[in-house]
Amino acid sequence: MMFLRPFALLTLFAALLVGCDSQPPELMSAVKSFATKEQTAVHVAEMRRNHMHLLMHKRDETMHQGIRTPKYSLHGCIDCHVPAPTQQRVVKHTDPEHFCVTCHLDVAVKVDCFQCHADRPTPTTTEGVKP
Amino acid sequence: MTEQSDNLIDRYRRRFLGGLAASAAMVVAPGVILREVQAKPDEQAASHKIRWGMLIDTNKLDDGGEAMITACKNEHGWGNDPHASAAQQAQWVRKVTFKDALTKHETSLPVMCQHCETAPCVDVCPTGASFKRADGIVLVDKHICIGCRYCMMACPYKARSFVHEHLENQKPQSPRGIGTVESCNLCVHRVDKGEQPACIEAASHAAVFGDLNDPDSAISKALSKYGAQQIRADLGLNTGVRYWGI
Repeated sequence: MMFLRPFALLTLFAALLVGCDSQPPELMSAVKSFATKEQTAVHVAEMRRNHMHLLMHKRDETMHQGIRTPKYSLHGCIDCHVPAPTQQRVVKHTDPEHFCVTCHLDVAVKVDCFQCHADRPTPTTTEGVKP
Repeated sequence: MTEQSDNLIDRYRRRFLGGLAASAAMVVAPGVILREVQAKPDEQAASHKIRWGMLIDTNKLDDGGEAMITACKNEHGWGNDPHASAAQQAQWVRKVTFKDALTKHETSLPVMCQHCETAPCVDVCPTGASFKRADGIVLVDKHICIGCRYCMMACPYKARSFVHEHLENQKPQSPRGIGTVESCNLCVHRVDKGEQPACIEAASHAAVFGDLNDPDSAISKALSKYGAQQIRADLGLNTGVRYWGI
């Protein structure tokens, strides 16, 4: 019966894993969308895995060389993924529904981008904005 | 003093003032300013061929540079940190006033980061956060700044400030945050787009911004014709910010 023990353990482990998946929590939807579903899927897959590396690379290029292409710019992410503040509603990086924060809370990652960087787009209208 | 030498001095003075007016006219002419700063393509890195600088005529600044300071505050969002005491508030540009003991003539000038060629802040930085970009703009990379404030001690112009508190709702173009040192960045985000720094726009009658390495730029022409003063020129830092009338 000894040879069955690893199988039993595996079965137990598999049973424990039921209900665990790699799906991220429900995220707020982006302001803009891609033209095709395929483009969206590619963007999502790339960003889920690599956004931190892309941002880090871009950060150094922009800071030290002044390369300000829109691709992988943090402004670009924020402008599309966080709603612009209005009089009724301001989404801040301290709110759990903020696009970046939802996942980072889920995986217990603390980022300090927003200690300095704007966590929301600039208001597009001239109407007053809640502080 | 003889009559003849008096006349010579008068003639010299007249020529000098006339020259100032002529160069100011060149600065104010709108077309000249628009061509002054070329937009850099987004994907192109800052170039060693350029050295950005500015020239401020304190005689033409009727408010001693206060409009320039206000424009800087609006652009970068400093000067109103909620928990900072007056002494702790960030000060990217400060108005400095001095009085001639004999004539009692008061001169005010805005003093910001002078964007030195051999910047002491860059020398002393232990992490490389304080650095000079290829085009001569001295910056703080806040991603690697540890907030030791050596650069603040080293700067002879008192140009740098330290952020003591958590900040909210910063300007997207100008990230500022707790535990890092900051200073005038010559509006690098505007310069990269081919625009003028905010302070220059606010005082275009008295200040000009441009490429010091380009002999045909308005600033180089004005400097080569009339010269200008550096603050603490004795330190030999070869500053990128020059003044008239100090």
